[in-house]
Amino acid sequence: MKTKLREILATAIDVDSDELTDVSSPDNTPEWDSFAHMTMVAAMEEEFKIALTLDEVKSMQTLPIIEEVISQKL
Amino acid sequence: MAKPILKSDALNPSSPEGLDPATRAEMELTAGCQEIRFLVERGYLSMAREKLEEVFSKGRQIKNHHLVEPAIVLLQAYEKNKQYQSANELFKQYESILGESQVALTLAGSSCLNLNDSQQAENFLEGAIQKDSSYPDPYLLLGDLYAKSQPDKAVSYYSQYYDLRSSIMGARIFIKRVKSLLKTNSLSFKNLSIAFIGNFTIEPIKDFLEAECFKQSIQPKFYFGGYDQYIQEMADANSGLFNFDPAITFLFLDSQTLSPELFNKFFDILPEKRFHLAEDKLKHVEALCNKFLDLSKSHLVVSNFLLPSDYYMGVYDSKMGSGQKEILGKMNDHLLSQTRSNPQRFHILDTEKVLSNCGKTTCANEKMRYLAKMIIPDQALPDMARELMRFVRPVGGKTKKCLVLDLDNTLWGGILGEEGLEGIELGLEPPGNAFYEFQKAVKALQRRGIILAINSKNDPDLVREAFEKHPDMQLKLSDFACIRTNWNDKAQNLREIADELNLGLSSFVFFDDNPAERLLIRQQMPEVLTIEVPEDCSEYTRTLLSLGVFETLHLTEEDKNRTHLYQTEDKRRHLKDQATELDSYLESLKTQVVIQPADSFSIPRVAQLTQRTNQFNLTTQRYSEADIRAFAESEKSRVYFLKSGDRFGDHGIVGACIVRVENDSWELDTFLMSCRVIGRGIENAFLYDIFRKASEDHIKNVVGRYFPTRKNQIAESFYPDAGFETMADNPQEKVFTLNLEKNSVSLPSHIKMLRHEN
Repeated sequence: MKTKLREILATAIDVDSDELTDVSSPDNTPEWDSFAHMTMVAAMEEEFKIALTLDEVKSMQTLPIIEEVISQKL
Repeated sequence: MAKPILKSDALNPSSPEGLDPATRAEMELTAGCQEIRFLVERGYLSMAREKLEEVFSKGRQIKNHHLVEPAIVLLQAYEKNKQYQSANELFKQYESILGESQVALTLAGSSCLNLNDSQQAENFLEGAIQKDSSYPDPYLLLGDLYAKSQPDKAVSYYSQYYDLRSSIMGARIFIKRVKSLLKTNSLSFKNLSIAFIGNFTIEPIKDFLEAECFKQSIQPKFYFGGYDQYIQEMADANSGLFNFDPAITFLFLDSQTLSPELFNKFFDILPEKRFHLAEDKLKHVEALCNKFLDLSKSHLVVSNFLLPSDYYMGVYDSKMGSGQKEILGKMNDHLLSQTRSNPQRFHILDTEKVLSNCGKTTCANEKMRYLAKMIIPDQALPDMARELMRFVRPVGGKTKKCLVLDLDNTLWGGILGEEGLEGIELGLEPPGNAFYEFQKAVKALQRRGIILAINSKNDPDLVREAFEKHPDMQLKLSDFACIRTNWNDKAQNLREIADELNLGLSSFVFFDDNPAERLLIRQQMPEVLTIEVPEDCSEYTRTLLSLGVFETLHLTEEDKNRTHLYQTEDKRRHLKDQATELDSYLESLKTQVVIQPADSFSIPRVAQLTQRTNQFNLTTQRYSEADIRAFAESEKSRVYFLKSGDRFGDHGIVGACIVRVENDSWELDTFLMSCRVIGRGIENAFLYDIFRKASEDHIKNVVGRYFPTRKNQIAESFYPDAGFETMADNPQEKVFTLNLEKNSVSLPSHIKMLRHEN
């Protein structure tokens, strides 16, 4: 699950998945801009066949939070 | 269904012995599978493998498909850890079970690919496609397999992968693969610059449009104007947009952002004033568009406004006068009428249609609209990109020119040879009505300049009779430029059709209900677009109309007449077969030509010729109408066109020449002829007249160039044959010159040159 999330995030924001850590966030990852964030959300919704809410989308700022949000939906 | 009665033992986990043997085996299997998954997740692969052996040996009596899943989990883990040999061994051991699963077959193919066993990999992957042709992954791997040896074929497999996985992830993976091919291989992709401007977020379309472009051998370069910066971008000739110099520009406007004073206070404004508010804004947009079109050579495609999925006033919206729907409808009408001012380069994109087709409520993504001002929801983006291609394709010169059709179960239901003229399904009753409508859709394509051809295993006499006598036949034999009804192999027939029509295979679309014939064409002629025809004939028309590969942005007289032009060509060929000598054939044609400087009537056609002519085109320079107009108006250049005709009919404008004047010499920037008329001396007549015009202008030398492409070998020796001297001979360019005083080109005796059109 975590590996899959990391891969999706890496593809969405177009960085190498090894460069992403648990503390990576839009604040310290220049590639993770608002456009990349939207791409990631679209990819997550498609991959896991879920619908994220506006609040969840805003909260998904690090990999651990993303994992928490998504696993609650599955 | 009756549930099995629960035995008290079944509730007691300490005594599984109480279960009946089948239930117990199933339970052990389920537990075993879970164990394998657990071990794999934590990286204990060899233990997982042992467990798998155990489960398999016990589980054989039970349904096999239960066993596939844990094996797949393990195969995936091997794949990830690059233990391809182990994966291969595992698959081979249980091939009889795993070979039934497209996922396992794909993983096996992948491991073979990594072990460099291409033959085995291909077998597994083809096997996976046979199991489930809608599973995308094997196409991706087949693409990888061919990436080095046959990049064109690789792109075609990657494209099929994207077609089956048209999502953001699918698009990203597809793009990455094709980009790496583009880096290392000489794929002949056409560069095209595409710009987006507007007042809402449209950037997410990029990946989808890039993927669609790659499918059509177009390599796009993108420009996205700043958010809500379209006014500055379009009005300022030094803006980023102008510097980017796009071939095509898309303008996306959201009605609410365009006119907040109207939509935010909609019900506070008197109904009769509402449209005036919108109209003021639209007039401003129109002025901007016209300014942009004046200053730029780009096509401009403006998206229409979206109607909401529901209205504030409900059904009363339509009763109150100047309701939301009425106002937005009027705004869209207004926008449409604005584009009529420049039909060549100003177009409407029907975003409202695309969103309706996607289903506004099914694909709505309201959070993205609030968060990111994405008016077009992400789920609709793949379809939007396909719609944009309807404009990108013709601008990039990738429009298909000919539709090749089968007859039985394609143009009518049933088999003519078996059921006879009265027995085939075609008419107003189902299922005949589906074929009736399909024929009407085909006929409409022919009306806008698409050439039709028949490629059918059929008896020619029966077919003629059916077309002549069936009362509900919508198409006539005369609608087809080329007909092959015989028992030959369809690939051979298609090759002959291509030869006869003098079109490259990449101009063809093949529509045939028989999957075997489609496979044949796909394998032998990957350049031809073979349509995946649905099994159900009621889907034919929709499939054809949604293709979007035949789009024309501007119809010329030649387009409307094309079938006739090709048919008379057919008659000419017939005569050629009869004529014992070429000269007497040419003599009998009674060809007439007229050569004139381009004027406003001929400029669109001249531009079209520069964009479409690939074979007899010495330099293959592509020009827009604006470019041609600039050449025609400049002192330093001349544009001539050639019109021809013969006893069978008028050819229309079939040749163009652009001359750059340099002191006392003329440089032929462009010299091209439509291949329809090549080989009849018309090209020599054209050159003869260019020389004559040059001499009248006291020009001493004519310089010609030849830039080789994959398609223009036919023109390679044209200048030397006409007496030019070779000045430079490089792989990329040959330069020729001719001293007009020594010119010996004469007008071919069988061609009559007219000074003016009759």
